[in-house]
Amino acid sequence: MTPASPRNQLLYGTLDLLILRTLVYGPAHGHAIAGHIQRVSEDALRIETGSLYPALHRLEARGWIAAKWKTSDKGKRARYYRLTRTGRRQLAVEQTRWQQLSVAVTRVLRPAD
Amino acid sequence: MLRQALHRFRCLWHRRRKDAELDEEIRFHLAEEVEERIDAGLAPEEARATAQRDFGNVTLTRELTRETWGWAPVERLLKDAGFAFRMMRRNTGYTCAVVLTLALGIGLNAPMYEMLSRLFLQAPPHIEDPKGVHRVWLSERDDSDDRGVFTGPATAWDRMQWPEFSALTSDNALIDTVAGRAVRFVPNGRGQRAEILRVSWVTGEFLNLLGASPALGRAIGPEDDDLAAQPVAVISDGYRRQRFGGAEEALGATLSFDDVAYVVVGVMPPGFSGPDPNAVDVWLPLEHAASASREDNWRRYEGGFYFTAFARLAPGATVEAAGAAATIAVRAARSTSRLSDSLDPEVTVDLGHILRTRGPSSLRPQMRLPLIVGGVTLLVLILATVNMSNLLMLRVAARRRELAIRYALGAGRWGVGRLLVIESVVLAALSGVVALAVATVFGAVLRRTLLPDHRWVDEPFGVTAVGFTGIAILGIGLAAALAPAAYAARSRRIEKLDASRGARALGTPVRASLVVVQAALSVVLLSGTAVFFRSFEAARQVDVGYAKEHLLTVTIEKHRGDVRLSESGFFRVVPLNESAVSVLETRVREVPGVLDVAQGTSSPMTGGATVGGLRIEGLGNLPFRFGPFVNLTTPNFFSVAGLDVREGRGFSEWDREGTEKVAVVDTTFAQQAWPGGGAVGRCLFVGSGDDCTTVVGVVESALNWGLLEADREPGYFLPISQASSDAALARWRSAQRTLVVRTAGNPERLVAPVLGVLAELFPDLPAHYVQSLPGVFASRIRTWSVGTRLFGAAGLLAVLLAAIGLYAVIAFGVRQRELEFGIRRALGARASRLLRMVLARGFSLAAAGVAAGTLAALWAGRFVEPLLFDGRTPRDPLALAVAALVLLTIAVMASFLPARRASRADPRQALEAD
Repeated sequence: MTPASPRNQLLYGTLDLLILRTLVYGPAHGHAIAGHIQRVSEDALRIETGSLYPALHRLEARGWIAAKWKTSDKGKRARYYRLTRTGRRQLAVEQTRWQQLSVAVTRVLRPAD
Repeated sequence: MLRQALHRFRCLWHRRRKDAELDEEIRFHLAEEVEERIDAGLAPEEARATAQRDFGNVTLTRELTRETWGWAPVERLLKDAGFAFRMMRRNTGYTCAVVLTLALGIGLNAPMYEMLSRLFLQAPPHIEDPKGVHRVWLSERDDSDDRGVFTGPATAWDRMQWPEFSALTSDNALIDTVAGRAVRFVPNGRGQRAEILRVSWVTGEFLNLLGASPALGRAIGPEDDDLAAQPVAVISDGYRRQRFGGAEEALGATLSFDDVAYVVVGVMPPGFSGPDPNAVDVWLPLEHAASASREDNWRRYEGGFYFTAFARLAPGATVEAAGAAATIAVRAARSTSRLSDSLDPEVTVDLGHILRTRGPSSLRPQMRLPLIVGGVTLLVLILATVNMSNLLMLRVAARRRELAIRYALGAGRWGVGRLLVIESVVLAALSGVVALAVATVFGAVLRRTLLPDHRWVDEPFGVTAVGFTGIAILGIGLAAALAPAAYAARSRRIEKLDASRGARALGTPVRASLVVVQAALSVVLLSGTAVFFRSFEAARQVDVGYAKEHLLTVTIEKHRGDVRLSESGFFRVVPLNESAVSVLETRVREVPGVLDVAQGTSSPMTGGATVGGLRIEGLGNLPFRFGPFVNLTTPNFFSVAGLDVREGRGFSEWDREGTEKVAVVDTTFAQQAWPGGGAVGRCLFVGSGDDCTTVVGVVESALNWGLLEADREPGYFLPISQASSDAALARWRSAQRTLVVRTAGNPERLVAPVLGVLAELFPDLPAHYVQSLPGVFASRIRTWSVGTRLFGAAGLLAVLLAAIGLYAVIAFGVRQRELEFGIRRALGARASRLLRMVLARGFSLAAAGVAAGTLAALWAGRFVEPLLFDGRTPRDPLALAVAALVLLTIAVMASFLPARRASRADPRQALEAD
């Protein structure tokens, strides 16, 4: 697969999870997805565009999300991404994996009892 | 997986549109960003600038996104392939050498493989459970000594006669069904319109036993195999298409064989040819067909009617048990026969594979030849692969600098390796295209020359051959790339150290030994060519007795102009019309180029006939193993046919009815009957009469069969004008007549005009043929002429390949040692010395090959030995010497170009280069 870009400051694979999760709320274009993640994480996570678009296209190639050109609220043509059925399943998998990982990391970080 | 692949393909297809869309997507993103910042209170100018800055490198984003589309590897591949094509165009000589060797290797192998697989591997199509169908073999000894005791080794035949066949069917609980068939070439129709068809006479169970159901109509069943039933025929799909076109016209049409009209009731499916791969046009019920052609005695041993039986076993029976039971039954049938003395009582029955080629008999020569040729073509393919690898290696060496630069610019080991693999695959693919053309042409030639009497069901070039070619292309492309790729990968390190010194040792022993193997194989093939050529020459020079170079024969068989059913239910033969024969002779004499015409009852070089009742004065039994064969001739026969009268006289116009009865014997007859000599003046008793027929002369013995001295059979001649007094002779005289035509030039040219005369005089003649004796002789020595041609072609190819291979290795070595040669020159070495040095290297490799090849040829001789003429040995010193000489000469020639290059090595250039 595509090697992780050095610009990607997120843990490898996390961006996919964030994108999939964001799309649960409905179709969105790239800018909106980045904005949503930034807003929800209270500016803690800033998505580099150099990572965002490769990730979107990679997820599309895998069939987890699908894209369609639509007119935005402001009347401009934008590429909207939506979650596919396999994407939804994949989201569940990734979410479980993330939770297991975070639990594990937390255990390591917690001082020994 | 599939979805991903589809997606990638779509990406590749709509690449341009995708690019535009990506641009638009990024533009939209930037616009949104700018708008957001303006909303937050920034000035438009500043908003645009900060948005741009925060976005980062647009081109990089675009590139990274494109990578995910998945066509990058494909694009790289196309680029590499394009590069490979350009390289090939620039090195035309190299490309041609590789493509030609590979194309010939593959193109010769594909049809060969197809042919061998049909002959030896696959059961013919449309047969139900072909493993359950067994060909029935009789193993017997055919040599008996003076007391009638059978000696010698038993030979297996897949032929039997009716009494044996009926013994198989009755009283054998282990055999479920037995069916038989005899295949004949029979004319359908009359005169010029007659077509010669391959006809299979089958017993009623035959088509049922094979389990083949017709595509149209019905098959021949047991009820049809009865003289009381209406004669019916089943035809092949190929013949249906050729003769009738549509199916409707075929069913109900009539076909005429031996003056019996058969109604077509069924058409077999396309590709069906019965239990042999040899195509059949028509199937007829045996009862009707055999009775019409053989009169009344085809069911008896005396009738000499042979056919092949096939059996299916009863459930649970083994092949061995069924064979043993059949053996007992057949022996019983033989012992009760009137002719039991002449039949081996210890005959055994075996049930074999459906294909004759997989039966118990040792392979017949015409089947052995394809196998050997198949082996030879496979060797050529291996040579071609080895060569391609060698040539690629040479290319890599020549491009050392280019590859080093590629590495220096950061190309990975994999990248360069991939380039080489793609180059070989492109080369192999190009060769594949040429190979298809070669295969089509060679396939046709192969079928015509190797097995000219074999008729194939399908188109000459089938699916398997194409598949074979495809697989070979891929396999060879990859195999040929491996060695150079590995070398290139290693040379990366070496470039850093010392380009010329380090690379020298790489793979050299392996490549050198490959060249030795090539040279050895060439020696084997070349000596094979020489051995076959010597057999061919020896066979060509056999004296058949007849003046064959100037003879044409016209054979007229018994004429059934007036066929009726006789009371016994069989056909009566109407005698040849003597006046019509005289008219024919007169007309043939008028054909320009004809010198003289004689008549006989047997056709020279096509066998002979015996008439019962011959006795020799003073001898109780006839002292002959075969024959003697009689020929009733006109007085001029000996001079026309070119048989020299050795003692006494030939016939004259005075030998006629009423004068003294005379005979002429040939030298074989004379030597076997009267070893002490003095044949002239002896008495023969011919036929039923007790009056002496005086031997008045001895003529040279002719070869009517075969080519060996042992094939000369005793023969005697009687004047055709004295035949009326004896019933047997008179019948034979009216059964068949041959005009022996002496021509001024090549008799082949007179075949057409003579056929024209025949057709004009006898438009209704059912079977006729005109043969030129050179043509008959050529078919008799075909094994050796074909062997010589095929071995010669393969040998030539092998030598060419070996020369290319040797050239590649020597040139590679010279390239590697350019610096060394330069230094040697600088130190004062003479050019001629360097030239000799390199030539010696080529020569020594070839010499090693000659040594190995000679040993291999001595060993491989056993495979061709049975094919050689008159017990000639394949271990022929002259043949081996010629092969060695040719190869060494070629080797020196192949090394000359690189040697000259070495001798001209420029010390300055070599020193500057590194």
